[in-house]
Amino acid sequence: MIEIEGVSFSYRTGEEDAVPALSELDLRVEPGRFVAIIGHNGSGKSTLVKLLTAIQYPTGGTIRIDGVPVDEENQWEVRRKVSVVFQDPDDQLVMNRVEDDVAFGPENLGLPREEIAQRVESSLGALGLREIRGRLIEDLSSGQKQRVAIAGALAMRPRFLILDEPTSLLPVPVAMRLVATIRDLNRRENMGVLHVTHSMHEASLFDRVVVMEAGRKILDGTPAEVFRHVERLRKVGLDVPLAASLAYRLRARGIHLEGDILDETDLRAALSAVRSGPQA
Amino acid sequence: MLELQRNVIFGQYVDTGSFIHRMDARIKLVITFVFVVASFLIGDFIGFGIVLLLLALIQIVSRIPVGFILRGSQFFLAFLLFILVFQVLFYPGEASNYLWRWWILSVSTEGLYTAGILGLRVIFLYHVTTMLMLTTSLVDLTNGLELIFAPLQRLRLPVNELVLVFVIAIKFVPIFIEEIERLARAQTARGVPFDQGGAVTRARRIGRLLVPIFISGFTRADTLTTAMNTRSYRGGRGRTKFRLMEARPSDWAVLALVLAWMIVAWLV
Ligand SMILES: Nc1ncnc2c1ncn2[C@@H]1O[C@H](COP(=O)(O)OP(=O)(O)OP(=O)(O)O)[C@@H](O)[C@H]1O
Ligand SMILES: [Mg+2]
Repeated sequence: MIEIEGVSFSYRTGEEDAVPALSELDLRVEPGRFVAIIGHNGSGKSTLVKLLTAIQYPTGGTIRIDGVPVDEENQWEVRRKVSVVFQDPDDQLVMNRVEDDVAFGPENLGLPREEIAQRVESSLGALGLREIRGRLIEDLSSGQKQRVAIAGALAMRPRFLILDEPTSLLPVPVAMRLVATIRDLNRRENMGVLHVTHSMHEASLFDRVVVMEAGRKILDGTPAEVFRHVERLRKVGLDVPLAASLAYRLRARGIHLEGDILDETDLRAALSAVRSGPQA
Repeated sequence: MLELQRNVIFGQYVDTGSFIHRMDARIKLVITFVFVVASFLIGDFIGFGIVLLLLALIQIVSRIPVGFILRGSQFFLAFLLFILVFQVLFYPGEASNYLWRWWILSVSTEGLYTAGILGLRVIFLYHVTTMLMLTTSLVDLTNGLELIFAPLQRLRLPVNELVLVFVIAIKFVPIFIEEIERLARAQTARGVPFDQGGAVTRARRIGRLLVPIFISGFTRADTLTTAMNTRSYRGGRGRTKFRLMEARPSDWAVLALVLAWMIVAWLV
């Protein structure tokens, strides 16, 4: 369980040009959940990621992960529970060969060799990297590199996997496949996922969407609940997916559409229900 | 354009899967060390003649093309030539054997000889260390160094950390080079020609890139440290190893041959 209570954070605290990045944020994420975090540039998403992985510490409030307070004293315990994947894989890959990099984290935990080998094997398998396990990382495409970074995070067997815009450098189909893979892992391993993204389409695939603005949480709920607030989202610079936005406008004109509409399929279904007239 | 990545190979790793690539990293490190010692002991052209044959052998077995090494060493070789010319011109030769003389500059047979030996020595050192890095992956290099220096840990020396610093330094060479290229390209796009003008002008243009390169280097180092920390790296303490190091009989045979060569050379 991630418990964030009244957390504030500013960069360069105490100085004149202090930058407040989070203010009084409250957020709870139960184990095994699949949560997307969206927000405009500078809304504090990456800052939140840094606080959850003990790269920075809150200037106010508390964060607990499975009951362990995230502070300097507990930083290593926190990092065993939480793995992070950054936007740019070049910023986080340490070794120069695929399988060696995946093994880097488990090696640091001091696990026995057999255990490391087994974790490397299953992480490589989960991300479809078995064939390129011996390759040099510098020779890989950015999609492949991002997979290696995720495999490395996964090999830590974290309670929560936190991804900070891992898909923003990838072509859309590759990004979609990656999200599907992460969903699969989330279900199989009951590993909680917090996925930061700019893409509303991606966010619609999650169980829960948290919208951030100016260091605060402004909306929180299922994609259907959140995307209902079309005006609110537009005001903070976010565009609701086309199908959801069309449904919103049709409803605003008094056309009654049944159910949650997140994508084209939902919309088609709702519209054909309207066309065939109200059922008896 | 500078094309530094192709022109500076120091610190790169090129996997050809050759016998040398598959050798135990510890043995490769010991052999490299033997060669380094040898380069200081050898002092005549016959000795270096044998060394050159040896280097050629290493080159062939490694399956790394000679052209690749030569192209990747041109900056280094140009620099070496420059130093050697100085060495010759300022060599305090005796009046009896100089070939040419003007003001305080001279060319003497002795000067030529000393510079020749120095040049060969440096090339020998450069070649064996470059080959070590070209044929040994980062992990093997780290693990090999750690295992060799493990006994020093008892003297409270932070061996793991030192090895890691060394390895990251090596890892950074290509990154720095890439960074220089990127910045140079950006400058070229703004109309600064790096491939025109005299040597001094060119050197000055490259010099102007130094500050931004160091800044981006520090940023990179900081990012890498953060990444390692978030992946639970705490300075090598309690770290276990995924890769096994196994010296095959053939590896020992190579080491024995090298040592035998050293002893024979010593006696003759
Ligand atoms: N290292 C830093 N030093 C000072 N200020 C920073 C630093 N990093 C971020 N900030 C500021 O903190 C605020 C929140 O930034 P953050 O990176 O968390 O936003 P974000 O939601 O991740 O944005 P993006 O979508 O662009 O990644 C911004 O105002 C930003 O300018
Ligand atoms: Mg960000």
